[in-house]
Amino acid sequence: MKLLYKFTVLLIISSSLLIAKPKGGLRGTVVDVETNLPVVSSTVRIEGTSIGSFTNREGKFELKSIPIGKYNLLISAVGYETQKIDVLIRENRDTTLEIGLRPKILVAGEVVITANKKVQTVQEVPISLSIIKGNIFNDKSIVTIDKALKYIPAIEVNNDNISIRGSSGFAFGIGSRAILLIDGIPVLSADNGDIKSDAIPFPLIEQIEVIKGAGSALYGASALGGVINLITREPKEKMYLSATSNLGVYTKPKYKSWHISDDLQQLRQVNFAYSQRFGKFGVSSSASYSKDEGYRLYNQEEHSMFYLKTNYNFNDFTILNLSGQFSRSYRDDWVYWNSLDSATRPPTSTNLDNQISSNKYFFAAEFRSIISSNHFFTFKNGFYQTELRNELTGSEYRQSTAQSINSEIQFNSKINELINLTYGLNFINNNVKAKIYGNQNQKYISAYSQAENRFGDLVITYGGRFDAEQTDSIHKDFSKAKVEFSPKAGLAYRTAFNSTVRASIGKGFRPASIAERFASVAFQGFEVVPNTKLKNEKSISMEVGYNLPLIINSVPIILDCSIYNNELYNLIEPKFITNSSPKIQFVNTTRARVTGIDFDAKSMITNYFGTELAFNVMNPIDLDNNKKLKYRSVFSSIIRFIFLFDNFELNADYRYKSKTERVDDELRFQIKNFDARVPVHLVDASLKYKFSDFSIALSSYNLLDYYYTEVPGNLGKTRQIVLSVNYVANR
Amino acid sequence: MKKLINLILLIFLLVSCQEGLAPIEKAIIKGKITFVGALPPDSLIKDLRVVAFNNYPPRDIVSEVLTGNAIFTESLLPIKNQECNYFIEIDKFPSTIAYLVVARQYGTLFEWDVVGIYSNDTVNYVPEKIVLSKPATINIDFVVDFNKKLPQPF
Repeated sequence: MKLLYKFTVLLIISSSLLIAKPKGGLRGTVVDVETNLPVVSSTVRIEGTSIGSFTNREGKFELKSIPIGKYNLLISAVGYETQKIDVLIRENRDTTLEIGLRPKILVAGEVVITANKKVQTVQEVPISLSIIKGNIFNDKSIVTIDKALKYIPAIEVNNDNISIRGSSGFAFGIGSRAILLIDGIPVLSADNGDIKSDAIPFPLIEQIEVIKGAGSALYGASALGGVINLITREPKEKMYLSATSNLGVYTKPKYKSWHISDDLQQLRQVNFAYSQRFGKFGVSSSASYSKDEGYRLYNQEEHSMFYLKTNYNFNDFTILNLSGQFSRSYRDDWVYWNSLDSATRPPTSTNLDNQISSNKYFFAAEFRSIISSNHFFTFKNGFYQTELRNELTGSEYRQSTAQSINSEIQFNSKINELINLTYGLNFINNNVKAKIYGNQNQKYISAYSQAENRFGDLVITYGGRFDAEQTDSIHKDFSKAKVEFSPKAGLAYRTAFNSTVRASIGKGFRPASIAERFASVAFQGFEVVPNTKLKNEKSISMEVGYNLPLIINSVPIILDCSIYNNELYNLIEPKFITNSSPKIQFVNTTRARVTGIDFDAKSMITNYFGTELAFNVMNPIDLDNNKKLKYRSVFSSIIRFIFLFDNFELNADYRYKSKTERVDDELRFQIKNFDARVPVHLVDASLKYKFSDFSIALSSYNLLDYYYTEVPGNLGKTRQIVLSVNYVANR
Repeated sequence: MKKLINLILLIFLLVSCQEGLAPIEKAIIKGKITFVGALPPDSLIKDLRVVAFNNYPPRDIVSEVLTGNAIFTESLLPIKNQECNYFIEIDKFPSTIAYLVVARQYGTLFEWDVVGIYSNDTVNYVPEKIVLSKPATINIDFVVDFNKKLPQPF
């Protein structure tokens, strides 16, 4: 297997580097159509690949030695509408282009990567896809992924548990039903199959793309509920340097019984990011440190992270990216409150000296090349190691070292003028050495293919993926592996007024993680016992959506609406084995259905005032007992306002979630006032002042200091006030 | 534009009227349990709790707690120095405690017996009712003799 693997790598690299192909060149200038001034740092990419270039200070770009043929170019820049141009590269000739970009009033026509594993415009995507641009993180003093995702409608984030359109309940993040990717490479831990939100190079994130709905047809296991792809900044000729310092406090709660100290609890964060290209060599790096004393006693967290990404362009059609990350964190082992009366303190029996320490290492290598004008390929390798341990002894000692290796080769081929094909092979090996899970090994071998047919304004996609999963201690050898097929079909049709109708149906699946199968652990009064007989959980996602850009009385408005239905089978949920003891086992419990409407409307009403209204209404039903699914809100909404005046920018957001209708009743034996829950009303606001390369922002999270729970026995974050100083040089 | 600003202000006004969670005002029943006579062996005293039932006679402890008709203290084990303290918090008003007892688990999860009863009747041990109409602190002490046979409701 290893030999075959090495051979494949060598074959691919040598074929792309050494095989002589007829080549031509492409050069051009990108200008603003209204001012005729050059557009600096715009991205010029070949559709379907991430290969391309950036414009320099004169708005000029150049791609040398491209294999001859016909290509589609996507030209995008911040603040401009994306342009798509057909271009023909001829042998030994330079094609010259003059490209005009139109300034955009609203975010539309964005370029995305995640939906079909290739670069394309969002209007051609047949599924709901939300985008968050990295620049808003500084505006709102957001420094963690969980806070950033809270701004996307129909996503609920509780601790590291991410639920897209009601796909997940609450299981301390174990067995995530959304896959997290950094630049397309999965970063789920090998043991828990969970998302580590503290191990993300946040200062370098340029865009977050979220697919709402099953994505297993391209991304395999864990993409049952959706896909979250974090896209890091590509180094450009212009240097990008940013430094941010946040200093914050949690204000004292209204109620004296919730005060934990005479002083205000503090929050300190610093982060740096740097990115620049030097000829063929590019480098991006970030580092961050944060210490959060927490709004609760025994809830401190300290994180540090370093990330480095380099890329080398062998030529304009062959690129190698290498990246590495190390993060380290210490946190108190807060699980639930003592009682609602002392909601900011853990149970009196808690050993306050116990801390959880964890290290995370991530290395990735990505090789991209254009074989010919009709064939591109990408070869990705990722290594992700998580280490965790606490400081207790006996049955409460927790330790795990988990490694996940991910290798994928992907091809994009243009079969003819109408059909594009994306296909590839994927191998994943999860290896765990843990006191709490034993020594375990889990493998996936997968193959996928997806075709995209264009008929004028209609784009039809269809395809599927085979995944074979084998866990050594269950399936013995690979011949006993469990094979899943995940098909998918979708269409996107651009109608009159530039509106788009989309529809899709796809299957998702997720085998149990190693933690769900083998956990044998005691913590804070709970005991988790193993279950090696877990079946794969599955979903079928269907949706119909409509995207309509409008201009009413010179006011641009973008409306987007989806109606969706997710059928969920054999959901793996933690369940109390008896009604009266805190002994938990992960079991296949639920046949469920989540039907809903997801609506988003945004508008920049004047040059200085913009707003967005989004809501999600869903009916999450446990069909086995005809009750609402636990830990889901039926209605959630976000209302956002932005005011711009001179150098000031004021952002205000209101988020609402209806009260979760059901939680686990058995928690009453362990958690006092486990049932204390209310609708969530949260107001966040920030005021920013920009001068030169600096900005100063005063932000408040939960400005009205509203008290709520999202998880039983856990008071939500109380009011936080943060002063941020940010320096960004982009020159 | 004016209308929009008014709408924003209205939203903020409505949101700021929401109260959210707050500490609960509670009644507390607390006291001391004194153990007299010989203690049973550890194998026959797996758990010990004070249980407040809303109804008398109750079904078994587990069912009554699960249905919200009873609440109990944290485990009082291990018993030290022949006495221990307890407290129970009640956060619903008005509330009636029809049967307040010290209960021992001697076997499986469903095997409990009553070893102390709040009663003024020292012959038939007819339970004394406690009616709580507002937050208050009530002191009730128990004397538990594991060798004395008390009327068992379950």
